[in-house]
Amino acid sequence: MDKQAAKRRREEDGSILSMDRISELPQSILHQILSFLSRREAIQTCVLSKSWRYLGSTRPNFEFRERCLNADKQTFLLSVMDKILHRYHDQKISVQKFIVEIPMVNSESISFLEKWIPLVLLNMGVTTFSLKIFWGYRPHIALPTVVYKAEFLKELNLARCKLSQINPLDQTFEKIMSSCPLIEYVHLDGCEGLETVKVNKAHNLKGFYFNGYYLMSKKEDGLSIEIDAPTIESMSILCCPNWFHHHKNFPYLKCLHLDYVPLSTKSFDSFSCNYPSLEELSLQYCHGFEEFQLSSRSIKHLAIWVNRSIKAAIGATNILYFEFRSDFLPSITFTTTSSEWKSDIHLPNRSDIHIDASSWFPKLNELLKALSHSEISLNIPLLVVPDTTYGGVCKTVVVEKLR
Amino acid sequence: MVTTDEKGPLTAKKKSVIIRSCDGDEFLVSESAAVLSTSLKKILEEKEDRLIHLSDIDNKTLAMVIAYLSTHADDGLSDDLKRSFDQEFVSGKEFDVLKYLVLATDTLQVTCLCYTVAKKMADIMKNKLVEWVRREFDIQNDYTPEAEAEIRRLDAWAWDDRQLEDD
Repeated sequence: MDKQAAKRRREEDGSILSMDRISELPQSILHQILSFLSRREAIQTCVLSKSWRYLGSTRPNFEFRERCLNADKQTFLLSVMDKILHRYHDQKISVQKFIVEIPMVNSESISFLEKWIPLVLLNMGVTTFSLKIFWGYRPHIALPTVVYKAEFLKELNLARCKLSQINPLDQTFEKIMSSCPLIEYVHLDGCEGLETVKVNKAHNLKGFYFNGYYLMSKKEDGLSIEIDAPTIESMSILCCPNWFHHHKNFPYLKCLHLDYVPLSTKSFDSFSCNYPSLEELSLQYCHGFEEFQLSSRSIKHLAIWVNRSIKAAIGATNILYFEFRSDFLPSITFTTTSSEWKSDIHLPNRSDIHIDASSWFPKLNELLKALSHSEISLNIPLLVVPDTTYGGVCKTVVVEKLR
Repeated sequence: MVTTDEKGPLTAKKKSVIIRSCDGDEFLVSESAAVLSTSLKKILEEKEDRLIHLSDIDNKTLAMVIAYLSTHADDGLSDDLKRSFDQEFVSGKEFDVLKYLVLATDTLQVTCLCYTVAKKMADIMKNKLVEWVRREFDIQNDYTPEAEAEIRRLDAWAWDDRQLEDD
């Protein structure tokens, strides 16, 4: 419809006041719209007209995300953000999301953050708090203890931060969970002071992510996770040598991702029995088992990456997608009633593993037979067959959609 | 005991509400769809009357909101289907239509639709020059050239093209 005509129609209706096409929307809606723009674009709207003067700089999300900055530029931009945050505070504008992602921490940025964090967590009542430092293996910034008083917090994301310690050590996480009863999402990436995550009955927790990669070298054995969260829906654990999950029920867990986490055959029993809603299970380089049995009616996506040979009996009634990556051929039996599913098999991708063709191909045949009811995609990027037939050259074989 | 348990949800499902737009047209909506709007839910909790008059939402907009509510109240649809419905719901709609939709969702407090529509409106504004936005939305620039230049100078970093990677 012609714009003028549309406008005229609205005016003729008389029921709705004529307005310029956007400016007279309530501030809360304009803020919501602006929250989907980048900080730069939001600030640029200040020059549209006088009624837009402060809209872009007073959005309820305070975001600073930069990956590549030199120290001077970072300090300069942080000082700009400092002014913006004070404008928020002075005009009593609410901040719902506080997101700071910076490449590095230096004395300037620490002094800004030390000022900002108590302000947003206590006085402004943010619901999403995210602080991520990209560079450096060591956490540089110690979070002020106000984190333990942020009662409105729903989402907490921390990467490479250090938490002020609480004694005994394993109660730090429990303390956060009890101080912030509304918390639903927790994302912890290499945070010192949170090596031990232990919580009893986290009643609102829906999502949990833990990455211990940056802490591994320092306190490998100290890393441990023990969560009892009846409401949890998605969980990712990376690089944690101790995950206590036996005898815990996760009735709503839909998505589980484990990377470099030791498992036992008992763990697979838990996946089968205690996680009745589990739809996505991804196990990457998990160790501690040679053989497992998995039987689930709920699993739809299953991914297994291993770097040794394994034996598995998988029963996944409703499977849609099965991914397997390994340098070694597994011995797998697969039972399902799913009529349309795909399997994606990736075999040796290292050229230093030599195989014995006489046993390798029959084994491959067995694997393909086990998966023969699926649409198979087989990828063997670096297959070295030390055989005179090929003269020992590398040969890339990719067979797609085998049936 | 058993019969009340069975009857309870069944009669609740069948219950419906009549919603009248500002143009006077009436829409019959199931209660399960209506209560997805926080405002309607509150009204229904407070009064017995099954007729709700909305004096600031026109026919066309109300019909769209009701289509949205009914789809989201349908237990037979998967979350994926609902998500793709949301995408289609806002795609191709004119800015003015979206504007009245977002106002209606604000009045009715339908948070997820408000979010979807606001995001769509932002997508329309994304990567556009200030001049384009002014022209497109009939915004009268009431700054003097000097005042505008001054604001641009104050937040100079936002106009610095070397920072295009910013997002």
